Amino acid sequence: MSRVVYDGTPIEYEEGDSLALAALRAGQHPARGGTLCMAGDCGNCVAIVDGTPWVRTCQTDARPGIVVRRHPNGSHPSPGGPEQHTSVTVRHRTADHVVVGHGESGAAAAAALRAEGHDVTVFDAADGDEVVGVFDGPSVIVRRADGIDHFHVHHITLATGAAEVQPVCPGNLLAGIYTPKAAAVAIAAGIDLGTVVTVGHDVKAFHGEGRVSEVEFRDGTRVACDSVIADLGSAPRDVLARMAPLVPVEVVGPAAQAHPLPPVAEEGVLCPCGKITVEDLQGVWDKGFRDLELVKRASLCGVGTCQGGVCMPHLRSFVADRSGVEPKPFTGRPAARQVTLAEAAAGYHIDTFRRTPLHAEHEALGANLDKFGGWFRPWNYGDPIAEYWAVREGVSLGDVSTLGKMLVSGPDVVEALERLYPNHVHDIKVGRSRYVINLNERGHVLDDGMICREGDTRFLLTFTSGGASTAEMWVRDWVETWGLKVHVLDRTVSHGAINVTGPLAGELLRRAGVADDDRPKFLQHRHVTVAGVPCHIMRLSFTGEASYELHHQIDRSVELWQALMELGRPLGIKPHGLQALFGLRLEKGHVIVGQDTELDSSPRRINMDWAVKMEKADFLGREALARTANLPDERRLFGFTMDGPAPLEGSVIRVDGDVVGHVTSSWDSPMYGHAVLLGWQKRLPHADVVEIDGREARVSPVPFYDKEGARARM
Amino acid sequence: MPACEPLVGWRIIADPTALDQAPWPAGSHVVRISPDDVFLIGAAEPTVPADPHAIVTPEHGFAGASLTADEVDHTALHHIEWQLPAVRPALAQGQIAGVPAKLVLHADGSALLLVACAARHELEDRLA
Amino acid sequence: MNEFVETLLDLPWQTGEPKSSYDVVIIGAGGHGLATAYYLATRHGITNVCVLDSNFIGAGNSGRNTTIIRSNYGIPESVRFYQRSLEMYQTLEDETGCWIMHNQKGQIWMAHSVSTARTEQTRALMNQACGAKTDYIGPDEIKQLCPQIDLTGGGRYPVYGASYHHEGATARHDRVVWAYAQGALRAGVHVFQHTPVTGLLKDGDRVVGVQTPRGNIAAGTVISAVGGDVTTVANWAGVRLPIRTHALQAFVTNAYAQEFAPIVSSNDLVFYVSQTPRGQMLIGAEYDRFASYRQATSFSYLQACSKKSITMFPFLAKLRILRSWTGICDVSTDFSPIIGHTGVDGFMITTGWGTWGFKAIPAGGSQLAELVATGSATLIEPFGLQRFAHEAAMADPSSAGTR
Repeated sequence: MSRVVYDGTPIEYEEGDSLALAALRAGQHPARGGTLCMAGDCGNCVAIVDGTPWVRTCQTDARPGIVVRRHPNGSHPSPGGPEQHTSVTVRHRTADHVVVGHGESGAAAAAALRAEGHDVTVFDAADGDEVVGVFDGPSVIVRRADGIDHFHVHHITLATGAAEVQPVCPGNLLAGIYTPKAAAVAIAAGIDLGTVVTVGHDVKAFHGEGRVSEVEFRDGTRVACDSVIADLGSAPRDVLARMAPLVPVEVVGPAAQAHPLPPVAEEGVLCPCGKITVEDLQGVWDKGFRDLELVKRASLCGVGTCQGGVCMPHLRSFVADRSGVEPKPFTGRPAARQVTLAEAAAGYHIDTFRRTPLHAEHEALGANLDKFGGWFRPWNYGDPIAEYWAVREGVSLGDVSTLGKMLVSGPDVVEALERLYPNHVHDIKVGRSRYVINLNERGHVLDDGMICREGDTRFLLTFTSGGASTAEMWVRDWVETWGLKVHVLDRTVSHGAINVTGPLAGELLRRAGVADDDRPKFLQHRHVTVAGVPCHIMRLSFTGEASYELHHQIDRSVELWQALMELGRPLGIKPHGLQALFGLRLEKGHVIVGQDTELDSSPRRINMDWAVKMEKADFLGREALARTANLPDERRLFGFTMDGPAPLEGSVIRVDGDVVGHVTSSWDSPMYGHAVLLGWQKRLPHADVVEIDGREARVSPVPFYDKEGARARM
Repeated sequence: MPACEPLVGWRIIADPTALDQAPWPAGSHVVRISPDDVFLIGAAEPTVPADPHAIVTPEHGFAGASLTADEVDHTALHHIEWQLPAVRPALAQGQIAGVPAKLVLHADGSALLLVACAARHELEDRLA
Repeated sequence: MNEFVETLLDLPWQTGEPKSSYDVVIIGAGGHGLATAYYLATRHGITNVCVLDSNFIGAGNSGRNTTIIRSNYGIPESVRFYQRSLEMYQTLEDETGCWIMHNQKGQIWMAHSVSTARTEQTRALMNQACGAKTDYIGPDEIKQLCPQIDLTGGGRYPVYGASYHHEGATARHDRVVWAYAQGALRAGVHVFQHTPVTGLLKDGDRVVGVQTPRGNIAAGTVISAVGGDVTTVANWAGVRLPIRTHALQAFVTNAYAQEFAPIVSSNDLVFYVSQTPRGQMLIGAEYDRFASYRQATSFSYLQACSKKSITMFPFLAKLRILRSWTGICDVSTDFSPIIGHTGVDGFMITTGWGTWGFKAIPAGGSQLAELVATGSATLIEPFGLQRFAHEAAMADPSSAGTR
């Protein structure tokens, strides 16, 4: 015989025993008393098994070395402290017909289905296949000792049978009380129950110290005993059926049959999980809570670990008696069989962090990488101010591989882009590009980017890193809605992009083999080989300095980056991270959509009316912009300057002591020695002088830096 | 599980009928991602004569790994919560271990697993 | 009797059938409907009020939420409104005599990246400026407030910091509903359960009452405090609402000893955990992305939520899921409520409560009652339906995730 440790004492069990049976074999109640069902229906045998509380010991096989502890008396078990991360095996399976339960009705249903030639899979908790729930799909989740199975199924038959009704009367929390099936299980296992008295609804009370030793009947007779079998009928075990009214299931056998409710209980604990008494129910009834749901919610009867498995027939009987109407059972909710969070979580991955092709380069350079829009990107390489100066005074590289990049082509492509964007598209010449914003139908800014014309009917579109993931959907949805013929290829992840920026950027390209005549001018783009790597160079500027975005196939990214770093070494090249970039662009007054804009920022609010051509017949958002053009609009994004240190991003902006907005971007400009900011004023009249962080700040025209834009054109 | 290696190929976006008729270069492998979208594995440049607006561009964004039939079954059992197509050959697309990926399923049960290079490290970690 | 039962107050139901006419008829006996009736009667002396519900009181989202009370929003209008509500909750037990199990726990809203740390910093600064007590705190302080946390987030989601909302609290949802029901009934308001409104009575464009299976009821003002089917009710009045309805799921574990003090949320992972007064761990996340009126639970939700929570709190891995539930949330296009006049005479509305309706019950009810009684209510003025026509949406930058 093998042993388990039960509340500190080693006890012997026989092969095939559940933990509850092992306890009974040792002459103990597996918990602290209460009727046993030995079928997983009630919570009267729960204990802490190998550190996990609330385990039904009747559904858990005894194995050598298992350590069981009873729940503390009168209080809840500890949830435990910090622990190691655990993982559980998940299996994704398919099944044609699933039958839950292999009792009489389940076996009959399975046999009938098989006779019709169906492939049938049967689950039964007694075999260790605990059905957690039935869900849309349909799908069935099954908990097993070695993991959790997710089944895609076609047909579900529920043959879960009936649960035996437990007695409600004084003394019903004593040990030694069994349902008929539980007693049968114990007796079949060779457990001696001693002198057994079988009772029906004629029982009035159980008496004893800890264990039942005497039964008192309604007629006043008292009978001594060691154990009681309470034979009180049964109620459908239909929680799965009640769980998924919209999932097609067939319910057969006792689970589908109407069962008479037990006689209304007069005294005693009706809900053993919560120790809710008949008196409690009467209390809530008398206070006006006269609806099954209200009685449940007010008394908390039925919300314990058995989820009404024991109390529901009695509770319904109570409400039927008091109201004269038999109430429907309450809704079934997962989990029908409890799972741990680790079991439920199995197989799930929260998200995917993408890496640019230059990830290893950044790591080698000591970059502080952070998550931005699902990508790891360099926040800085240790010294954002030095990175800033490299851009302003020398040359620097930035990894902008995460930008959205999309090729569009087709006979209707100009028409499509004219409708998608508020700026003109038809007059962009081949080899030229234009800055664009995109709007939703409400006229609010969704994203921004560039349009580069590659040919009469072929364009490259760029989107922000944050906007890239939804850009293809946005373009395809509209193009299909309009019935236009446009081919769309999102090549965000197949193309890398390196921004070569700074006054010496042109010099670096020269050293990388790009002839001056081949270098695109501002707002031009061109296919050129750089350091032996075919690139599509776009000339634009987010940093304010001359900038060349080198787009290329990602298998050449590392080679291109290393060559540029090497060639740039005599020029003092340094890569820059997002921290420096955010400051650089802020000095230029460029907004970052999502940081400086809000969900409902129209172009006017962010001072970008110039990017909207209302003379165009139609474009997304035009109707909304036309309708709202003359509404008073107090909300506007401003540039501000103030003495350093720069206030925290998110600092409120006050005028006359009132909050009128907040700072969206803030940076101590190394160039100017004071802070430059973007922030909102949402009240009229807009003030020229505001208070931020208890200090004075002044509205300033943007850009703060190089107002004429000469440096970007160098 | 074998490591995913970058693949060399072409991406073609064109009218579905033009793609149906396209004379793909010998030795290349056609992965029809959607009616208007082909990933052609192989170095030779393809043409799509029937669609003058076709986008034909090198595609180096995918990494791939060859899976044996057993590896496919194992992956499906533990890492794919959707049902693979019963007929083979077929292309299956969806999340594998939470990462967007594709399975080019061959008639013999083996498959080519495709994933964006940008997410390949995540997939490799999760399938390991 | 146990404490929970003993502390309940009576629901002094009226007898008989609804009258043929009331000054105000409120559709929906959830928290907002009952609170509005309560404040009409107790603050403004308007007691000729009837509240109708198709089910029992609090059957909808009032009894299907995650019971969190907080005011750490991102725009001044929201912070002020929810702070009023939070403060009213703090005194609701004294005012009504009902034990609502109010429990100030503090809410930690974690950030796991530079960009979400900025969001939480912004939240803290805006809160401080508008009267809510929120500070930005670092990992060490978080660990002190919540020792069970894995600050590395399983190596994948390191905790950079958090906004800490000192007055974040919970209260027992049903008991809040009952507190208002009891108070309203005592003040003479009629509340009829299982009495669905099947249509509106109109006189020209004006709404003048409601239809029910128990007969028509005339009303000086009809207020829709409906959750879920609000667009249907509004359509009867000819009002089109910028609302979509989504399901929000949550679950609880079995009960455990009280060892988890605060409410903890994650900005990046979008989930939240707290321990109920009964010891259950309550875990929720954002609403389902697709629109639906169904109150069904999906396993994928349990899966995702479990994974997120055990990633930050490994001790949860061994805990067992007891029960899940689903509420249906009316979400407006700017993620803020829509409350007040509708442009149709005689018909007012309180909706758009998304996943933030429970915490808004006291302020929402009292402000709407004030608007009905006096014609103006400052805190809800920015949240009128007309804002959508006037391009004055109340979009809250911190509303994108859990609210």
